[in-house]
Amino acid sequence: MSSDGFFKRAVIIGAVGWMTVFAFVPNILVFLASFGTTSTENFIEPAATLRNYARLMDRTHLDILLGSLRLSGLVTAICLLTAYPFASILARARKPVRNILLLLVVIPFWTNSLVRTYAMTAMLNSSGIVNNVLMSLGLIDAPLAMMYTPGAVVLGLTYTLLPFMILPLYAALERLDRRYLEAARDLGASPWRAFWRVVVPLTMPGIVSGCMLVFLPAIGMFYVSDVLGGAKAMLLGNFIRDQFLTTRDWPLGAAASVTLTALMGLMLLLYWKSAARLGREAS
Amino acid sequence: MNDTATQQSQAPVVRLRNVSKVYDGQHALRDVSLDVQRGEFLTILGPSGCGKTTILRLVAGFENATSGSIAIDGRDVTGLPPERRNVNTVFQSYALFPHMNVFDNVAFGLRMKRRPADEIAREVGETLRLVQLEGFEGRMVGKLSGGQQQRVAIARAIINRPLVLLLDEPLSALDYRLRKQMQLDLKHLQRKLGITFVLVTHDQEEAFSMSDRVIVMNNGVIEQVGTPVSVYEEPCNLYVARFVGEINVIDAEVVEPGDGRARVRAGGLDVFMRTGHAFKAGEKAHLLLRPEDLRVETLKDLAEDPELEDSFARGRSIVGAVEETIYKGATYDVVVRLDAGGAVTATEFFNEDDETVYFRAGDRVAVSWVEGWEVVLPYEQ
Repeated sequence: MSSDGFFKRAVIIGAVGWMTVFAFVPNILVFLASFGTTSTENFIEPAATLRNYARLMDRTHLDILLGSLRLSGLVTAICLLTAYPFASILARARKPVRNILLLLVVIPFWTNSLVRTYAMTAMLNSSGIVNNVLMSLGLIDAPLAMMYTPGAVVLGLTYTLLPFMILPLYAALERLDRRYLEAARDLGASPWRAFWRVVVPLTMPGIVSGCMLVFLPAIGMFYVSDVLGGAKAMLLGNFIRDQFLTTRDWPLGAAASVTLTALMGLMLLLYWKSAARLGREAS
Repeated sequence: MNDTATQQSQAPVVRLRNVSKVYDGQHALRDVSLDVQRGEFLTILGPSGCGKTTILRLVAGFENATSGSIAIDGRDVTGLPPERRNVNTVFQSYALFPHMNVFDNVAFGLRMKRRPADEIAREVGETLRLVQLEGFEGRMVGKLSGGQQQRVAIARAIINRPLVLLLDEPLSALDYRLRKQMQLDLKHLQRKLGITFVLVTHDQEEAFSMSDRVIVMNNGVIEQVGTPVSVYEEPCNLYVARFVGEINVIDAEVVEPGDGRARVRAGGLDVFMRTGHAFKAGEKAHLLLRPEDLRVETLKDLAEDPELEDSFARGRSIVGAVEETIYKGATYDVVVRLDAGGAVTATEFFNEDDETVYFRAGDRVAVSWVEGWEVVLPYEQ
């Protein structure tokens, strides 16, 4: 066997082994735990019950799930509406300007997002920068209570996840041939109608991937909700974390975790289906 | 019919007056004036970067002229966006909407005009029949061949009944055979519809076979405007002469200027030649001869056959030696090195009666042409 072949094999075995030990096995354990029960001696007693999933369907848990989806949906919508114009400008900017703007998008990745989330408290708390500026301008008399509100969580998630919306949109808009737009205008479409009839459909793959990249992480980013939202469990991620670390109801946490994974899998499946259909139509 | 209506129908459908376009300090167009007549098939011919596509983009409204004015149907269109101009474009690579099928592509223009659905369906059907694409309504455009995409692009434009159809090198992506067919189809379509066509191409054969008038452009200026025949046979300068086909250029000198003709010395000859240019005595000039206008005979044949000699030249032949012959299929080229200096290429047809008539390198030959088929131009550096 050549050394090249050995190297290839080693890399593949290494990667597969790593994924098996640290991703596949833990997920299987969580999956099995979701059918288990708990006792005073052990966090997990092996069993084969659907009770944990049934408990997830009760009123309070369902509210957390729906609230979390609503919050993530809102964050996704805000990201899409702000990122689309920005990505359009980015795609059309001259090369030097474009590089600077892209750098600005990427710079936040250089700092840990937990640190950046804490940094936001410095902006938002009652003696924070925003309140100080507004008060010194005389726009408000007393500090606004911005911390520990759903609004702060939405702001934090939007801030953290916006680049994940901008980059796929930029890629799609940059690839978009300007002549399609010219053809639409030539055939009598106003800029607005050309946008809806031609630009939006042709950048749909970018829109969908951007939304997936924002929506799915937003459901699970419990630390943003912890730091900016206070003790209330606003996201499904917080709920799962609480079951494992606070309430010590591992089977319920595992069931919620499996549900979240299934939900993400379902959405990815829908995305692939629609991407495949769009791809078939486009090619 | 009243006077204004007559006047309007005779007025040029597109009029450019002193139009210039500057990109990044570079002139793409320099002071171009041009009238497009109603119902004509006009071709703008020139090499890439000569500004021909810029003219189309200015008329379509994708760009604004740096200076000068453009009028469509007698109305100044400065600042008017593309969607409000009654012209349509067939793009070079078609720019068909990849997310729509053939029907939706062709229907796009009428939908933008908010026509009723049944009317749109009828018109799309009729237009697709016109371009021989019936039954393709539901196909995605990406699944079509190049020729079919081309026809969808044409259908998508003509369904709007534009005053002028602008075609930007529409055939350049097609293979040779299909291109020939589409040239004919386009010409027939234009006659049938009576729409004014303005086509841009770098292919002189394409320009000549389709157009009523040809505009030859170079470096952002118009070099010559005329019918294909006049541009080919009466090129106004060396650039046009060379661009619209093969041509031999021989150094010449005007001995005696005259009206419509001049005594010219070239290649050892000293005879009267036809010319439209005014020369001074002793002025340097170019004698231009198309290869297919030239006849070549060996001096030996001419000496042996008085009848041939008599029908051949009547004193206006240039003598030289064959350098090489190049087989071209239906014809062959003979390159003749002239005794007086320089070389000319003559395109000869094979003589079916005589298999042996073929020139060998070194053969002493005389080259001649029909009187009046020569072009004499002022000397250019």
